[in-house]
Amino acid sequence: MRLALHIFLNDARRFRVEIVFSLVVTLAMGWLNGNPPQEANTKGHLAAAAILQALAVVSWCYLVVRVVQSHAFCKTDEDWLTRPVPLPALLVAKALFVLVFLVLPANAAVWIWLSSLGLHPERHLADWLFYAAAFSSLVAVPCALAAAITPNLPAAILTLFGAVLAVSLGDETLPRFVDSWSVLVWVPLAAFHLALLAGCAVGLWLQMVRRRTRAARVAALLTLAGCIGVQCLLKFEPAFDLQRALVTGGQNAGAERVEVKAKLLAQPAGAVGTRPGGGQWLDLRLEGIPAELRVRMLQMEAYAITAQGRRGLAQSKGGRASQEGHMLFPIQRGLGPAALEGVVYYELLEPQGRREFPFVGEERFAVDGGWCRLVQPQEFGGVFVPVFICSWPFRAPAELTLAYRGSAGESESRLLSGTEAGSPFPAQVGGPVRSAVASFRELDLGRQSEAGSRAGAWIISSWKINGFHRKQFRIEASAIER
Amino acid sequence: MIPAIQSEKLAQRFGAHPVLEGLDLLVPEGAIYAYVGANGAGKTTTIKTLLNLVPSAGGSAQLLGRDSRSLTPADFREIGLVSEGLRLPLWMTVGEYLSYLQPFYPTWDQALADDLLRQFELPAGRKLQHLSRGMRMKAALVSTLAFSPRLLFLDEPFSGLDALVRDELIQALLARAERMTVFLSSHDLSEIESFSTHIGYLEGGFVRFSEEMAALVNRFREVEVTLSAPAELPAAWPAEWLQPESSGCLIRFVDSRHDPAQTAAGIRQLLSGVASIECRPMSLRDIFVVLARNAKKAA
Repeated sequence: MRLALHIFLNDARRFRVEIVFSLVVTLAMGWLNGNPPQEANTKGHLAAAAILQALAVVSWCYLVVRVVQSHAFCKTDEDWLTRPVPLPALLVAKALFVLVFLVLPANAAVWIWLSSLGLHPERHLADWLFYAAAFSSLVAVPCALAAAITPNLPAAILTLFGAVLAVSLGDETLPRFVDSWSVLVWVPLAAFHLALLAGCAVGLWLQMVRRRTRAARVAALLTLAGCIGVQCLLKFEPAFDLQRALVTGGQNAGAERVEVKAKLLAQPAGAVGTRPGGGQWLDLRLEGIPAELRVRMLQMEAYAITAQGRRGLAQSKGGRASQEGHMLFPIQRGLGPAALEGVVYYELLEPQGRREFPFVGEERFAVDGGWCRLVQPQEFGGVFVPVFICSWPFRAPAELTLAYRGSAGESESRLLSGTEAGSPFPAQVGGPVRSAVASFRELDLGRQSEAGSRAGAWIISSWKINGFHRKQFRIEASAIER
Repeated sequence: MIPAIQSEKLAQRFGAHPVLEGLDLLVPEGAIYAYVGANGAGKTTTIKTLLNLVPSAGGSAQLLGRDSRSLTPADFREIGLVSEGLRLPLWMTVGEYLSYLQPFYPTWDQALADDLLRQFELPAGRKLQHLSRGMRMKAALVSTLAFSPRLLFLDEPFSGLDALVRDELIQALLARAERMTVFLSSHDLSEIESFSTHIGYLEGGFVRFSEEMAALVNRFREVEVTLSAPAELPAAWPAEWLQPESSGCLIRFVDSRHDPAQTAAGIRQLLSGVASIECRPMSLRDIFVVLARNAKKAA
C-alpha cells in the first residue's frame, strides 16, 4: 500500500495541471446544470452545459489514458519495466487515481447538480453506487484498457474513436438483421455495463498483471464485439413491431377512436394543395383508451382523395410512446380540392405494477431520485421534457405526467422507456406546469415478453402488449382549419 | 557457483526475420562481460530477451539462477539496466527521479547516490529532459548503481559520449565492479578493451566465441613470414590462418589459434625457404576487423 500511495502521489504531481483543469470543468458542469437560468436564456445555458459536458468527458478520457500510459505496458523501452515496481501496487495506484480524480469529482458534480435542484441524493446511496459504477464502466475502465493496449496517446485516441464508431455502426446496422426483443432500456443497459466491465477487466488483467499485450488486445476486441452484440440483440426496435403490424394487418376492433385535427399551412380554406410549398399538418389523437392501458403510435399514413382517386402517400414512422401523432402531408402542385384519408397503426400496452414518486418543486420539475426539466420547444409547438432518474438498475421509469397550472385536472401522460429519456408534450394542452408525477416500475425479471417475437431467457419485459391495432380516419376538405 | 547469465539456444525473431538463433551464453559471476558485434547484430535484442522485456522465441536463459521468462518485478531489485534507448521519465528532475526510485529498492544507498551525483556533477534540480545525452546516461547510471545490483546490463553506454564523460562513467563503474557482474554491449571495441574480463562476439544471430579477454588477445597474432625467394600461397592453407596475403618474398596472415611453437612448425612445414617469422600481438579492434572481414568473405 505504501508503494501504491507513492506511485499515486507521483502521478498526481505529474498530472497536476490536467487534474486541476478536469476538476474545474467537472464542477462547473455540475454547478451549471444545477442552476438553470430563467426561461429567457435557456438556449445559451444549454449550449454552455453541452460544451462543459463534452469538455469534461474529454478531460476524463485524457486523464485516464495519460495516467495509465505513464507506465506504458506494451513498450519494451520503458525505464519502469526494469524497476521492481510491484504490479498490484501499480494497479491500486492507477485505480486510486481514477477514483480520486475522476469518479469522485464526477459524482460530486452530479451531487451538486441534484442538491441545487432541491433533491436529496443522500437518500439514494445504492442508486448512487450504481451511477458511479456505470460511470466507471462507460468512461474510466474502457479508457484504461485502450491506454493499456496502445503505446501512446494518439494510438489510444484512435482506438477509442474506433470503438465508439464500431458501436455506433453496429447499433445502426445490426438491429435490421435480428428480430425485436421487447425489452426495456435498463436491462440491456445493465447488461451492456456488465459485459463492458467484465471484458475490460479481463483485458486489463492480461496486460497489467500478465503482460500479454496480444491477448489483451484480443480481449479488447472481443469485449467490443460483445458490447455491440448485447446492445443490438437487446435493443428495443420499434421498426420490427411496425413490420409485424403491417404484415398481420392489425386489428380494427376496439373501443378507441381516432380524432384528427388538420391544420392547413398557407392554403385557401376548403382546398388541399393548390400551390407548392405548403403542407397539411395532421394532429392525431387516439381517444377512448381504457385507463389501465397506454398507447404507442407506430406509424401514420395519409392519402389525398381527389376526383382522380387516391393520390400522394405520406408516411410518418415513429414508435412514439404517446397517444398523439403528428405528421405533415406535403402538397402536390395542382392537386385541387381533396379529402384526406389515412391509417394509424398503434399498439396498446399494459403497465405491470407501478410505484409513484411525486415531483418536488414546481419550477425545476425535480423528482426525488432524479429530475426533469423543460427544454426548448419542438417544431410543432410542443415541449420536450428530458428525464434523468438516478435509479437502481432493475427499476425503470414508466410514465411521466405533467399537470398544467391554471387548468385544474388537465394533464398529459407519456410513457418513458429509459433513465434519461425524453418525452414530447404538445403545446395545445401545455402552459405553465403546475405539478408533475413520475411513475416507476419494478422490472419483473421473471416475465417473458408477450410480444410473440421470441421467447428466451434473455427476454425480459413487464409490458403486456395486447396486439397491434389500426384505425382509419378521413377528413373532408371543408373540415380543414385554416 | 551459479553463473550470472546462462542461455541455451536462446532465439528471437521479429516477424519472419530471425535476429537471434540458438544463442549460447555463459557469463560467470563477477565478470565484466563485453558483448560485441556490428550495428544491428542483435545486441540490444539479446539484452531485452534476457530481461524478458521481449518474450523469447525459443530456448531458455537464466539470470542469477532464475528463468528469465518468469522474472518478476521483485527480481529487478538485483538486476539493473542502463541503456541509451531506455525512456526515462523526462518530466522529473534528477533528484525527483532518484527519490521516486528509492522506495522500490531495499538496498538503496542514498549516500552513494549523493556521492555519485557530486562525482558526476549532476544538477539534482534539473529536469531530465533538459540534460544532455551524456548527463542522462550519468543519471541513469547513478539510479542503478545506488541500489548495488548483482547484475548490471549496460547497453551501448558510451556511444556518442565525449572522452571525459566516458572516462568518468568507466571509473565509476570500475570502482564498484567487484561487487557485481557487468554485461556490457558495445560496438566500439577500443572503449571496452581496457577493463573487460570476458568477451563474446555476436554475428549472424550466433555467439561466434565467448571467452576471457586475455585468452582471446593471446590467441590472435599478426604473422609476417619472410621467404628467401618469392612464392605463391599454397593451396592447402589452414583455416585458422586468416586473411593470408603474399607480396614477393613476404607473406602475411592472422593466426587465430596462436601457439608460438606450433605456428612456427606449421609455417615451416607449409612453406619452403622461410627466412624469418615475426608474430605481433593485435589490438581487440584489429582482431574484430579480421573476424568481420572473414565472416563477410565466408558469406
